Amino acid sequence: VHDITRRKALERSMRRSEALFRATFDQALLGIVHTDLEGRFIRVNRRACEQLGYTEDELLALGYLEVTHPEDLTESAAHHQRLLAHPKEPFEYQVTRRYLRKDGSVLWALASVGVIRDDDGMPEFFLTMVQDITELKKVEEMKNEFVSTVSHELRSPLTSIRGSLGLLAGGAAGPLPKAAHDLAVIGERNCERLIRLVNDILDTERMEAGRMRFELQRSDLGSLAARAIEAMQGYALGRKVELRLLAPARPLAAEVDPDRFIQVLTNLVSNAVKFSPPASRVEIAVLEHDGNARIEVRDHGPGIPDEFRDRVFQRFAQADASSTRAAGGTGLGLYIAKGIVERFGGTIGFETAAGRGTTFHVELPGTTTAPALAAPRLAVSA
Amino acid sequence: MNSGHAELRRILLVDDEEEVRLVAKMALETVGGFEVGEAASGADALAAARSGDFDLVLLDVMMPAMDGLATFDALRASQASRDLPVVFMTAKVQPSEVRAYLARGAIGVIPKPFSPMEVSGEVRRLWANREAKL
Repeated sequence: VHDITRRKALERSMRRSEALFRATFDQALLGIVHTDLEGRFIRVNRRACEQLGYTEDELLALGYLEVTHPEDLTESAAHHQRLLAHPKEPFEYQVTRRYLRKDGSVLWALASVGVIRDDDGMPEFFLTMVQDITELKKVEEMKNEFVSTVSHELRSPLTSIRGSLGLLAGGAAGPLPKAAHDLAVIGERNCERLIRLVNDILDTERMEAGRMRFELQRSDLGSLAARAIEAMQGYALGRKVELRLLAPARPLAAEVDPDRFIQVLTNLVSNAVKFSPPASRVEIAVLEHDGNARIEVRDHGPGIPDEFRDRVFQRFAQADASSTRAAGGTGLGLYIAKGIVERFGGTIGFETAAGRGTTFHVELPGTTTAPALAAPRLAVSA
Repeated sequence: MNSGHAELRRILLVDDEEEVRLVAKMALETVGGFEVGEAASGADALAAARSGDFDLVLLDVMMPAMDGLATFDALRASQASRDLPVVFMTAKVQPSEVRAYLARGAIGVIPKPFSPMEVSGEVRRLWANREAKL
């Protein structure tokens, strides 16, 4: 009698547990599927059927091969192989993956995949939870397209404006009265600043969307620094600041995207020149530091005010809005530099002393082996 | 047919925007001392290249109907312009785009907005580099 009572209680408890699981499984906002180790679906919930456009019976007759986008099968198979090779190791991952709906359209999904094990800890079946992010992907694509279009739409009129003002200021359209020439120069200078701003905003957007592409290659940092300095020479001369490169005793290499590395240095040097008094010097040093490569950009300006120090790398951060504006900065240079350096796996920071100047430094990992030559430069004008 | 002047003299400027053509033409003529022919579309460019005795093409990318890439391919496909060096002058200069232009066979890329006082020197430099590459 005792046994029967206990068994009944156990059965009740199991039924309840099963009902709880059923309700949770069926009402989940995520698509949930259980897949056996051969890839056949053994359980699918309502949401998964809706996401893929199949009835439950139709879906249960299929397997993950039929509903996974062909281009994402390799990645999926790699995880599967890993599990088969090491069945007892923890197995769980999240991935953005494309599935195919019954009508052939693509379902963009954030999938979380784990494994259910038997009593011996061996994998029994996969548990996959799928969040439909198709709409999110569409919005993201629209935003990218919008930014790219805006960029082009802004550049087109800027091309004519820069061209016209540049030719006027340069005297190519004939001599101008002094006042008219001065006005053309002001227009030209501010047009160039607007162009830098458009470029920096685009870079910022790309960086934040994770779409800034990097072609990392082992590069000689000294020669890249020389190229950055060459590009900034005109600007420095205009402000009567001398640029000096202190190159390392032997070539120093790191894994960087050469163009982006030059962009970082250009931003740092431009910043240093901007805050340098006339007839002073900006030193750019490339050196080895604890097995890392270190690049320093040192100015002899007023130093960074105390209250501004923790905001230096923020977007549109300006210690003194008026001085930055007068100097033609965009307020995005250091923010972009930090983002790029971090993508190289490096760090960026600064030391500053009131009235004595500021040194920005970039540290890049793993640089002790002999360097390859920097890649030949793309044929793009500055 | 491209006469292959020893020096860069005649440039075909292809851009659908009239004001951009006006500014670029003035920059190339007054600052660079080049002779500049204009085309407002890819189709015009093909016709001009057939008859114009040009040394180099400056080619916009974003154009209606036939864009710069299609124009480039058509120039390459035509006997008369197959060896004519092309420089893309465009606002579409993301690194991946620039690589695509060069991979297609352009001798260089000049980003818009270009500097009117420097664009001639840049074109001349690209031309010289292309000579060095051959």
